[in-house]
Amino acid sequence: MLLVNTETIPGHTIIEARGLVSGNTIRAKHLGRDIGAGLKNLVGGELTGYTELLNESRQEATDRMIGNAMAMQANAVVNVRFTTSAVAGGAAELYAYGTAVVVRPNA
Amino acid sequence: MGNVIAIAVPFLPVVFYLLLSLIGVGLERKHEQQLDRREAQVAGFLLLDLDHVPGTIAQSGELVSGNVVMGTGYLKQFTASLRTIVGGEVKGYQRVLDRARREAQLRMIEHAKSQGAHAIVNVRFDTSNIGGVKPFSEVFCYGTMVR
Repeated sequence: MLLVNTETIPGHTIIEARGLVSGNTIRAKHLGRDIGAGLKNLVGGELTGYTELLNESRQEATDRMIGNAMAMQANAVVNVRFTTSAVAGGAAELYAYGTAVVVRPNA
Repeated sequence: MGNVIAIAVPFLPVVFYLLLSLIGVGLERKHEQQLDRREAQVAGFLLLDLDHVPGTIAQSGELVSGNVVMGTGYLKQFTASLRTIVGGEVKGYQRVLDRARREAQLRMIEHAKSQGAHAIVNVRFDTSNIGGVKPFSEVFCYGTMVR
């Protein structure tokens, strides 16, 4: 599965557009991590635990989007976009979307 | 002597808090120096928010991203809350978000470079608050690396 956030894929030709695909995940903070982050915030700076958590979560949303694209018999997703939003109760939603397409490598 | 200790004890958390904040200030400066060094190492790497590098035809493209979550520290949260009384620029937060954005961008570039890319096109930034009432901000940056 090829992913790009441009409208075209370099070195490939888009044969057919299959439609919009998306994937999301909502992650709540882990209490232990939150306490750890709260302590780290006494000093300030990067909160590594959260960086990893959001990284993994975004990967999960992307994987779900890829799953949708596969169900549409697409082999690439173009114009991928990501959004993040905080929902109530210290949970964050990670959302990935794009257009599933069928591409062919240029000869 | 006993009196002095009795007076000092209630102030201990404040002293502790200021001490940690002071360490934070040092770490911030250190991080900025580290960012300067790493940016110098990737100097010349092309970042564009256009969807292609003008005048060139790329052979392949792939999504690449970098993220970072930064806490501003409670001292800055406090000074920012004071700042909202009179308004104006919140320098403390500005510096934190600047560091976060540079860090996320560098992580993305360093990854792309290790994959043999020479440029990243269509770069986008996404910033979000994930701490609820706490000032934890995530900066996520992504784009398409081209070869």
